[in-house]
Amino acid sequence: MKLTVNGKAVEWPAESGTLSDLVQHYRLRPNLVIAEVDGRVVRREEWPNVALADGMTVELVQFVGGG
Amino acid sequence: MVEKDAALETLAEQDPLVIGGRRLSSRLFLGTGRFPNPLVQKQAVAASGAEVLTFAIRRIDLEAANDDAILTHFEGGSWIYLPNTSGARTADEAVRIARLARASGLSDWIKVEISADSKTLLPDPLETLRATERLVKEGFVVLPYTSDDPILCKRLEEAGAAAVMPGGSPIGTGLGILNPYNLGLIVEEAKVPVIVDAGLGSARDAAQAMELGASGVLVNTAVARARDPVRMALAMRKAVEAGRLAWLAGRIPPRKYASASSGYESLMIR
Repeated sequence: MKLTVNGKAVEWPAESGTLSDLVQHYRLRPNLVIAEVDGRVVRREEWPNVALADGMTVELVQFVGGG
Repeated sequence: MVEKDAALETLAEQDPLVIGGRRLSSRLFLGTGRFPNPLVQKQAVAASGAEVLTFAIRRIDLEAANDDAILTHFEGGSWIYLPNTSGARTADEAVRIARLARASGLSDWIKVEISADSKTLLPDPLETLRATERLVKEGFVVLPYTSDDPILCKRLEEAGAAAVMPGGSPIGTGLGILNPYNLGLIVEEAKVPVIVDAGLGSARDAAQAMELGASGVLVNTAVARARDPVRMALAMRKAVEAGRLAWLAGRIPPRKYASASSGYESLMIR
């Protein structure tokens, strides 16, 4: 299926998967990641329940240095 | 010497800053952008004594995994995280970033920062007010970065801002406090803490802000881009303390002509 992750087109190789799988795929430390799916914030505890779907837009963001 | 320092400590305890129900002992807020490297940043944060640290929210570089995750350098600390909505140009965008920031689980504080002009990065007053109203309703502790406009600061306070953060001058310029008169009016009228944010260049600017009656200051570039960020962090800390003490102590009014420190009544030569 085709996803858009952080603005880039991504071909997700599996038939299915969850938001947790996606975060794991990028080897991110979950406690440092904030996720948004199709414009809606998804809290960390909800990630395993969010099934990836064709055409989904995902943003994976974090705290960075700033004033 | 030790006794004197203890007295100062007590003074600080008697004069805490309270924002969003949190009691702060440091009136210096520190930004975390633009430091030369993580080690210097960490040392500067320690030297500053700051309890409130600001951050921005940005996309993770998925090719570089967690290499650039700033929070790995702050694990185990007891700082209050103040994420900002920098990059937002509208209230909608700021609200979106604020919700993301809160989903970190680290903080429900948010610094509303909405700039519509890339040259000056000056805050958009109308969008800032709109975002503040909405985020207060959503339960955030909202600290809007705002123009140094006394009426706007009042409106932000009425909208439920936990503190107002007027800029001294545009972000990163180091031009200091361009309108001390306005800042004085803001302090006079405000019922919430006034944190002077943006544009401060050195210790004297921080001291000036505090002597004008500000409750605190937020600095980033002035520290991060100083030749020695760690020393400048310490300088800012001392300037904020000195300025606060001077404000509490009450300065003498300036006068045009000299007034002798010793009287002439008992002078022996006339």
